[in-house]
Amino acid sequence: MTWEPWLIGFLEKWTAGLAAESAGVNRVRYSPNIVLINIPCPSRLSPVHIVKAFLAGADGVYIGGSMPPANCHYKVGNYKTFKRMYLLKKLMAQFGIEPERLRMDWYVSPMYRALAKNIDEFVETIKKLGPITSRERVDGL
Amino acid sequence: MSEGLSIGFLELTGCSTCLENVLLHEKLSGILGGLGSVKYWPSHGYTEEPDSLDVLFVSGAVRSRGQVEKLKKLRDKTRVLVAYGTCSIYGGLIGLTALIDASSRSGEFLETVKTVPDIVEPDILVTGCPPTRDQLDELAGVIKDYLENGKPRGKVFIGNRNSLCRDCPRKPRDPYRFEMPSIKRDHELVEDDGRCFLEQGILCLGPVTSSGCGHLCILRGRPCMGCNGPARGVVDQGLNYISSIGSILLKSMERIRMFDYFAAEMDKLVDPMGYLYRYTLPKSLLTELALKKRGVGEK
Amino acid sequence: MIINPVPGIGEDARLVIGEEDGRVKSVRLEAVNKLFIEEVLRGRALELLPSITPVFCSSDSWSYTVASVMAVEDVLGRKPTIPALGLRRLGLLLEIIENHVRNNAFKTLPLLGVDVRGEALRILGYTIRIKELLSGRSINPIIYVPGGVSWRPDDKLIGEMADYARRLLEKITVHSKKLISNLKNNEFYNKLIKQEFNPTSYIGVIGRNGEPGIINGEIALLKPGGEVVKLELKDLLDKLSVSSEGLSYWVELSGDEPVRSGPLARLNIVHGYPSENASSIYEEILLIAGGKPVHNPFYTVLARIAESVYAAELVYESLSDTDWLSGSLVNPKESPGKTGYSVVDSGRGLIIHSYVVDGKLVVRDLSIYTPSHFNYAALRRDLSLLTGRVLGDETVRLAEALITLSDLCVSELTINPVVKGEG
Ligand code: SF4
Ligand code: SF4
Repeated sequence: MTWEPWLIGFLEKWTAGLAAESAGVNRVRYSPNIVLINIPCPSRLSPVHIVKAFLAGADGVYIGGSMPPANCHYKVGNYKTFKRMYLLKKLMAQFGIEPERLRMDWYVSPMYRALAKNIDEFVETIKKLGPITSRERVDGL
Repeated sequence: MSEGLSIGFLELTGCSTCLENVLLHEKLSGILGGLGSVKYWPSHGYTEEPDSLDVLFVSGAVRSRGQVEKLKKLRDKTRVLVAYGTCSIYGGLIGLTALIDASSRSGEFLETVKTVPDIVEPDILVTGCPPTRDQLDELAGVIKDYLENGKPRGKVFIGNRNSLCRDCPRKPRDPYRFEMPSIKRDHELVEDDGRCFLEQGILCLGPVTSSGCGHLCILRGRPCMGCNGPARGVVDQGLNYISSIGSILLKSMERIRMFDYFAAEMDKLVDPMGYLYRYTLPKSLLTELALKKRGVGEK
Repeated sequence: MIINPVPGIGEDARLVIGEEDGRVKSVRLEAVNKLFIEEVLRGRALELLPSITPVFCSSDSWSYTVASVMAVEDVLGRKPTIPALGLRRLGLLLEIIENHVRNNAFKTLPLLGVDVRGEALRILGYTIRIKELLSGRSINPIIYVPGGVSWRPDDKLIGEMADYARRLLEKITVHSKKLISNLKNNEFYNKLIKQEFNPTSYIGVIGRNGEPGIINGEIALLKPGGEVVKLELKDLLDKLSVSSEGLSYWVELSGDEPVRSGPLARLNIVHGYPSENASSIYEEILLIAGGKPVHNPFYTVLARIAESVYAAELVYESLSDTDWLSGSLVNPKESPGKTGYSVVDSGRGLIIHSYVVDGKLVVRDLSIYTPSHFNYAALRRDLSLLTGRVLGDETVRLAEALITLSDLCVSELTINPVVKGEG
């Protein structure tokens, strides 16, 4: 059985989340290897959640926030998220876990094509990196 | 009551000097019956393994297969097992080698560093590097209680499990205006102005560390390095810490400066693993992930 | 015949004695456990090393901390303040006392049938009290920082410490006198100190007036013939060669006799102790030995006694008059470079740190030499003297005593000899 990456994405519901919906409405395809979850604000995500996602078997974790950063629905959420994820990536690198497995992009709601493209790109990146654990995934999505 | 007690000391991998403090603490030593009760302490000349022990103090982290066996065997012979010192509970400084695969050197070694609770169930856990006099006072009381009232139920943590910030003498007065203005490295703190270390740009692990030590470093002009292990509610010292830092670093610049401005400041933190996991690396979720990635422990 | 645990070391080593026709054929001490922590020091932020390196050996944790702080200081180009120097010396003196008392009472003397463990615990009770008042914790001290100290005790604390120091001095003086006369009457010990041992070289840090230098002095090398050479640290590093066997590591001075460091070495190198009680013990030792250099490792017991009294006298002295404690705590003036070196002559012996960093002050390479690295080579030779003896209780006890006398900590370090004196 060939390995297929399994990714999880957290989208800020006011922008990236809306973009994902628009992608559906507009029949824009993106990779089925990712599971997207809408949340009010990515700053609610703790680095603990991200690492637990990896431990649960996610080969990559995606975060979609709002653009411009200062446009955050909760004013400063994007900044908190950026700082946390930036530090987390630094830590991951020291532990020998490729920081590229964690990706953040920023959106306004009409950017559904960009969202689809970024996700596909990210899936490709993860495919190149290979599975996060040595175990072969047997279960599907 | 201390009549005829048999006490043992087991030193696993670590410096194990903290064990000596047990007998140097008047109250604790009194309850245990002092040197006269020592039946087992291989590095100190008591090499014969006894048939049973009332109290066994275990220090150090678990590195070899032999230690795993020894620990299990002694657990079965012991009424009250005390995991003593941070190494035994979270790995301590030795835990920094959790990602070194010593088993490639000799089959005798494990692939990573384990802790005492990973192998057996301790009755009492005492953190600290070394545990302080006050912690030993409390420990003395608990051991006395255990010995008098039979086999203990569940395990007990010695020392306050609240975060150090909670009762810190440097605690900032206005938490809403509280900001970390920069990231400085430890040696860049040259003029301590007495405010919270975070307000001075210094990484103090107080927010995620339990205050069993009674603010020992903070009272002497040093930021906390995390030696008492995670505070209650903290899942992972380092990960929870960067979450906190994310909230307060250059807070007043949010919505004003671009991301690269923040990135440049964070780049000053050159060795986050060393800063954030100096005492608890084996217990980090990232270590678990890194080991899983390597396929350690799957067979 | 395999002995594990080994007295004084515990389960981290085993003593392997080969036998032929009831006689000793070979004796080896082998390390079986290692910390491997030096492998994670590369890539660390330089400033973290003083808090990590003491794990190599926490019965010398203050010395390792100070050695590391000094090497970091050397990288940063900082100069320590006067209070810092005083507080470092104070901490190291306390550790020297502990080291000697612990080794004699718990490791070596029980093998000679002498039990002074109770008294030793009381002495250690005083030293750890003072250390706790000084640094909050008795091992892995926190107050030492590059260029200074983070804190200084106030007058009340100094008073408390001085009080403990006075009691410590009284106790240790009485204890030492008793112990020496006890040893003089100990037949087994008297037999042991009369045995012949091969000459070795001795190395230590010696102060301006010929006293033990600890952190302040020159490195002196005493050759078996009696010749004394002063060495720069970098020259010494160039001369050290590393050998290993399994998990055991040791260093030698290229093309030279094994070189011992620690109490016996210092006994041979110093010109005496500039303090009253220690001086008289020193004279007494010389009388017993009939002169210097003393090559018999069993004199280490006496050397430890003399030095612990000397250290206790200095501790009391420096706490009774604390003028040195005023002035600024940290000297932040710096001009960072790429390398840093330091040497501390701790209770156990020479500790040498040398670091190489990159432009971001991240450690790129390092070597750390410990007292065990020096003394292991000498011990190997001491043990080889046992070949041919009848393999019985006494021989085993002798082997064990030789081990505890060298006070090894075999689990500490694999050595990376990359960092040499250049730079
Ligand atoms: S971060 Fe450190 S200095 Fe600040 S309040 Fe917490 S424990 Fe105190
Ligand atoms: S302040 Fe932190 S590093 Fe210092 S003793 Fe307490 S827990 Fe340990």
